[in-house]
Amino acid sequence: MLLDELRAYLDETVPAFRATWGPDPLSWEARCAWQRILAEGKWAAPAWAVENGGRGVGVTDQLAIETLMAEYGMPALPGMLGLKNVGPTIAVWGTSAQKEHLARILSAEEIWCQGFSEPGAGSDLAGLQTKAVEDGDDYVVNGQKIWTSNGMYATHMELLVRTDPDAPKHKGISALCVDMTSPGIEVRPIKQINGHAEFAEVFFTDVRVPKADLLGPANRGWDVTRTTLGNERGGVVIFAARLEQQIRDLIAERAAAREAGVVLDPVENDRFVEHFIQARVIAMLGELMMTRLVAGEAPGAEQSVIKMLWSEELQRLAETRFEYGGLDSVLGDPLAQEYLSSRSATIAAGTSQVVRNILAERVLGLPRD
Amino acid sequence: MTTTSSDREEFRAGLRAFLQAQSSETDVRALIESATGYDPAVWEKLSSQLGVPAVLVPASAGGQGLSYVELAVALEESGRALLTAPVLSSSGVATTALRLARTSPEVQALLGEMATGELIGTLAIPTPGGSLSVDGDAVSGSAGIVMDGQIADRFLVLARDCLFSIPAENAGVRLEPIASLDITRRQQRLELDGAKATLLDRSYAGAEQRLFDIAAILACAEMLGCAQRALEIAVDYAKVREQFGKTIGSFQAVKHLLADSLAKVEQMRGAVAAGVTAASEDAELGEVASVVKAYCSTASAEVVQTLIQVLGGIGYTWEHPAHLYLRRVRTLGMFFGTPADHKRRLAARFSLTGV
Repeated sequence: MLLDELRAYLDETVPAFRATWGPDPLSWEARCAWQRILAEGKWAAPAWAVENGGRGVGVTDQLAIETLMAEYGMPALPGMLGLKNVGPTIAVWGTSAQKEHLARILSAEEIWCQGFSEPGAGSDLAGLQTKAVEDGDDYVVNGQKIWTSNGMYATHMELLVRTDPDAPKHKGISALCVDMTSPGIEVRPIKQINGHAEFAEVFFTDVRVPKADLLGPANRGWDVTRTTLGNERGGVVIFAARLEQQIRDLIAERAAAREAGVVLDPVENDRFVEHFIQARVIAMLGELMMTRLVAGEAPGAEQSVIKMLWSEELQRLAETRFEYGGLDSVLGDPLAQEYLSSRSATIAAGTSQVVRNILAERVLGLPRD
Repeated sequence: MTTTSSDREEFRAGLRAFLQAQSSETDVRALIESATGYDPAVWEKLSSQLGVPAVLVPASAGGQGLSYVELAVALEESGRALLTAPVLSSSGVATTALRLARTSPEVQALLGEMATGELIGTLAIPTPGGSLSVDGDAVSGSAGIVMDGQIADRFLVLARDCLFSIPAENAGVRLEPIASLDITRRQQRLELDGAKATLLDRSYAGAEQRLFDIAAILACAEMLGCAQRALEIAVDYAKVREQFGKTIGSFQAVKHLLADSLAKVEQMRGAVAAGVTAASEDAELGEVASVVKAYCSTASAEVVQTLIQVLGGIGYTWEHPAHLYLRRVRTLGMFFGTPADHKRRLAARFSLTGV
């Protein structure tokens, strides 16, 4: 019934949207317009509580909704970080004044980014150094953030700062809600190896942030972060399902080529079958994780394991496609872009090496280094 | 009948405690050297106290009427304990073969006797080049490989699209022992020479592929139990073994090997869950069975190899049980389709090969 309602809404709104913005609208404005339309139907963040503008759906329904939305091939929502991460964090930790952001996050009137990593604090995020010093009714912020997704477009930032330099590192961090138009903030795009600039560096020079914009208690920012970073459990399952589908589609293309008379290389065939097996098994682990979540069992290692496995399989697939593209791959084919882009998969959102350390220490109970 | 997750965990806990007491490493090693390789007293208790052989037998035949999901729990625990009793061969594969046959009084009677554990059945797995001829009710030729043949009361034989049942004591039945890699579970070649057989199903061709798909998945449940235990042994060792003034588990190289083993065991768990669910829901099994078997065969081998690697020198000794786990998973990895067989099958399924 929920999905029927969504399907009806999409059938009604998608054609009109495409008529306005064209069949494949990737511009920022188009994406914001699409998010507004979803928000009007209460579909921008169905997992949010009803009182915050969502529908209070559980994890299985969330997955089903996202799967159905993916069928329509609509552009990725510009406010994704706000919808998936910051909004839920504000819902848990925010004051009633801060909760007024929620409606604007839904409608894309506010676009949020997260100021977490720094040049000196990536894997070791707790080592962050951007300082916030109390001065009257404000904090004064100095420092630098890096790898800020959406940094160039964001209207607001969930910023992690050090408020107590004398405390043990995890215990001296606070979270602030920052208006990106504040004086002293400078945003510079970071150009990546694939030529795109999807992230920014953000510099803070004596930026005043009102104390009313402290999110959660002072020096409890690390706990506030846990809400953000631990939030999207079903997300990895969607990635796994999409990867499996991508490989099915690639195999179907190969079969069609064979049908059309192309002689397939058996070694390359074997590679694709291996990819299918690996992607399918990752998806099976995702299904098992969902079964456990739905049964109310405490989540185990599956989410980190799936993220790590998915990222490595994604890279292997890009490698296979790049390799078998041969000379064409390096003479202008988009496969080169896919290959270059794939190199970040095992770095972003937890490097594979750190994930392995965490699995070994926290799940298997092996001693620290 | 269906069970809940906590029902199954209770079943698992009971089995595990039982097997810890009745199928310890000492017991297993003694049985390896014994005449029959199995302990009838343990089998009797597995049957009467824990109901393992009755799991897959329909209630109408006197069994528990449960599914592959529940049997998978028993198989995992069997693998974990390197149990030498015929859970996979009789309670799993042979029972499945009968479940897939056309219902008849003979089939129901066999299922009923297998449910109590009083009858041990095993399937003759055809080998390439082997062939059987049928003359009236007499079957002759090479029937294939049987697991636990030395203790079986009935051989289930596939010949000419038919399923036959042959009592072990019949004339014309000969078991040729094989010096198998898996010394914890014996296999033999079943040779028939005019052996009198009972015809159970004369059009079994459709069921045969399903039987092998399910058998493959059940073998993976046992491999999962072996792999999980191998990981635990490796982690326990890494926590206590010291070199260079530190426990070896604090070295990242060792931690990363074990984290990779954990990831493989988790994936095996997801694969087996998907496999037994599909088998229990009567879903089409070809793709799932091949994915699960190809993956689990490779992954379980790697996990046990990593155990040996982390153990260092002692992992290479006969005295340490690591090689017993290796022998079991490598052998199961070859039965019901090797990874290469299943990859070929998937390639054909996807129309990447074929005419």
